[in-house]
Amino acid sequence: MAQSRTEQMIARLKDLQVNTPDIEASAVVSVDGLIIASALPPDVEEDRVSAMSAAMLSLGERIASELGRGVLDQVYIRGANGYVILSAVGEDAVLTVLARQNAKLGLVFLDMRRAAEDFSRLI
Amino acid sequence: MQTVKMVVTGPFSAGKTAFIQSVSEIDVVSTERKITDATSRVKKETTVAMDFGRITVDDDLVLYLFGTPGQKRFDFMWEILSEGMLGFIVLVDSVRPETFREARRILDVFRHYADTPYVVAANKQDLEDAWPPEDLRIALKVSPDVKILPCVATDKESVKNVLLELLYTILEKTPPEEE
Repeated sequence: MAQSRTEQMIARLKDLQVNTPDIEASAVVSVDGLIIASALPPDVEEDRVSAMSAAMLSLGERIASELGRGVLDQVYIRGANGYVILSAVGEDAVLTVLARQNAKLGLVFLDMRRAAEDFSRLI
Repeated sequence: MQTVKMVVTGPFSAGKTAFIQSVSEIDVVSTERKITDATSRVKKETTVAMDFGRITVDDDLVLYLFGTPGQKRFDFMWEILSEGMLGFIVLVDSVRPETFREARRILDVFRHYADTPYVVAANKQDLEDAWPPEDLRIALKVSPDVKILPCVATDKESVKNVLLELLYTILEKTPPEEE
């Protein structure tokens, strides 16, 4: 049976988390802060995560261009308990990933980039 | 040099970004993104984080203007932007009564953040079916001691007038600091 686009995107997010166990949760959101597809834990409020992802990405893009760093590739947030990494999916969406404190970031970045390419085809 | 931080808030599509763009002397730091839901019928782009503009009043006084996103899902930005504000402006779209209730709610949220002076700006007064400011006062249940000012956010002089009125209110209510 053919899957809807949302189902395909959720499957791709779950794939990402299975392939890279350092990634604990992930979501794709629109640039205006609405959820497109998510694989987030039930205690995370996805509406807030999506709005915050859009706000953070837009500020990241502004500061990158304002300070002459060119087109934004990703925004990376490191907290005491792990990482939040945002990366643009084409012009219309953002991939947000939560990763463990001891995550192997090279692998996380690589898999995020591949996933982002797949999502930009799906959107 | 004294700097005064003001926040420009109000419902979705009230004209907050235009308000700051009309008057800022620097290139406004804006974060507009393409709208992807049904509200794209109202307009094509919306602010997702903040607007930032600056106006020099004179040698001793500079206004910093921070504009908020309008939709409730961005209310975490409202809280961040309201930190340290000395006053705020609630911008209302005078031709869209369906947004008045939301405007009132936003007004209450910001009053709760900080007990600072504020004014209400009745935007889009250049349109024929705009509600007059005093009718808006009744609709929004704004107390008589709060200024409701007519405004056209795309007109620099009109925006300046709103900012100066808020500035006077701030100066009246804030005792001057000891040198």
